[in-house]
Amino acid sequence: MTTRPTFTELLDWVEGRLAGDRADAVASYVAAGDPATTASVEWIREFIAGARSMPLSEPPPELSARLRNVFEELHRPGHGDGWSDASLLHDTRTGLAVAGLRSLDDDGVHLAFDSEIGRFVLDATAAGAGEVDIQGLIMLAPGTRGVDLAFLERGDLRRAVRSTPDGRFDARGVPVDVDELWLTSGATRVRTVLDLRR
Amino acid sequence: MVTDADLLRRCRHRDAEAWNELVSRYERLVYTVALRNGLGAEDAADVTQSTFVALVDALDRLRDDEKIASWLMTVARRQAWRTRNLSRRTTSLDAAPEGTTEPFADWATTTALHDALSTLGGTCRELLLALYFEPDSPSYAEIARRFGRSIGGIGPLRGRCLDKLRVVLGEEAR
Repeated sequence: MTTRPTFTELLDWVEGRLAGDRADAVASYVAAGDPATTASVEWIREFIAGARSMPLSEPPPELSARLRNVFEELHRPGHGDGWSDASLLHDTRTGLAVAGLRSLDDDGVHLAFDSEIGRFVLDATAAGAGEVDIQGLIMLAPGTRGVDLAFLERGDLRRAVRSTPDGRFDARGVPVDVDELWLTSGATRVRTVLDLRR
Repeated sequence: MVTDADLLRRCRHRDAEAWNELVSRYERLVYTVALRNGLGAEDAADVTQSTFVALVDALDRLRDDEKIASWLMTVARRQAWRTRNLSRRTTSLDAAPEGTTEPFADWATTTALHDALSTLGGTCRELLLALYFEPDSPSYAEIARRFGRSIGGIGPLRGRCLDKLRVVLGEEAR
């Protein structure tokens, strides 16, 4: 072979798709050590090795369906059936409290709710101008594996997070004017009014 | 060709079809990153969902719409680590699985490769994913049927696509 093999010929050769004289000719050219050809062959081998080292697994169909639904659920949480209101159990600003719930002694807001998904608590602490950091915990029923939370301001999604499988959630830089929280777990949806301002 | 940046722009206007297309493009990648970071199927599914929820959350704050692949991979890996650490705390030592080693020999190279595939986009991206990233290595006949092309056209097309990918990777490395 006197002319440089094309990239596709090199690829065919590396993959063993060339036969007979063509394969021999490409092999000879590669062996001759032409720098551009050597670089191409090395790149092809590295690409194939890299790709084969991480084959892509197909997610289960029910997960695929959930991933598609999550966008609508987070942006339009009030639509559809199956939602209920959470009830406020405790608010550090009003002194409304039940036994066993702590109060914050810093400048944060501590809220506790009961809901169809489970009891949940959240702490909101000042983060920056007009923002709070929120940390919380949902007491999930056995078999529940996480909850999607949507923080809305006048109906518009401001922040979205998914809890860990054990119910903890963390949302940084939430606008303090957020006025609604939606929690979604499968077909169960819970809403509550929020006031995060001190 | 509809780029990731196009889809993200449409998602910012609450276009659910654009979201579905983004999910179609990246759900396998995110799920794979979670699995390969030592998680079982259930935890990997949770991490995958958390990662896409994080994308909804970050739509208005993404720094580079062209690098959504590496962004998703990085979020998924971080979430997977967190999940593994959680399960270590709640699992008895006797039942704890062997610690997984870093599954990606070179994370930067792996993420750059998937960003480059995204930049390539279109038929080329889909063809290269089908040929080189599917676990069961489908035959040319199967690929040809899937892409509505002749078997004889698959080889040359993959060569052109891979050559383009090399150019994209070279440009991104500069």
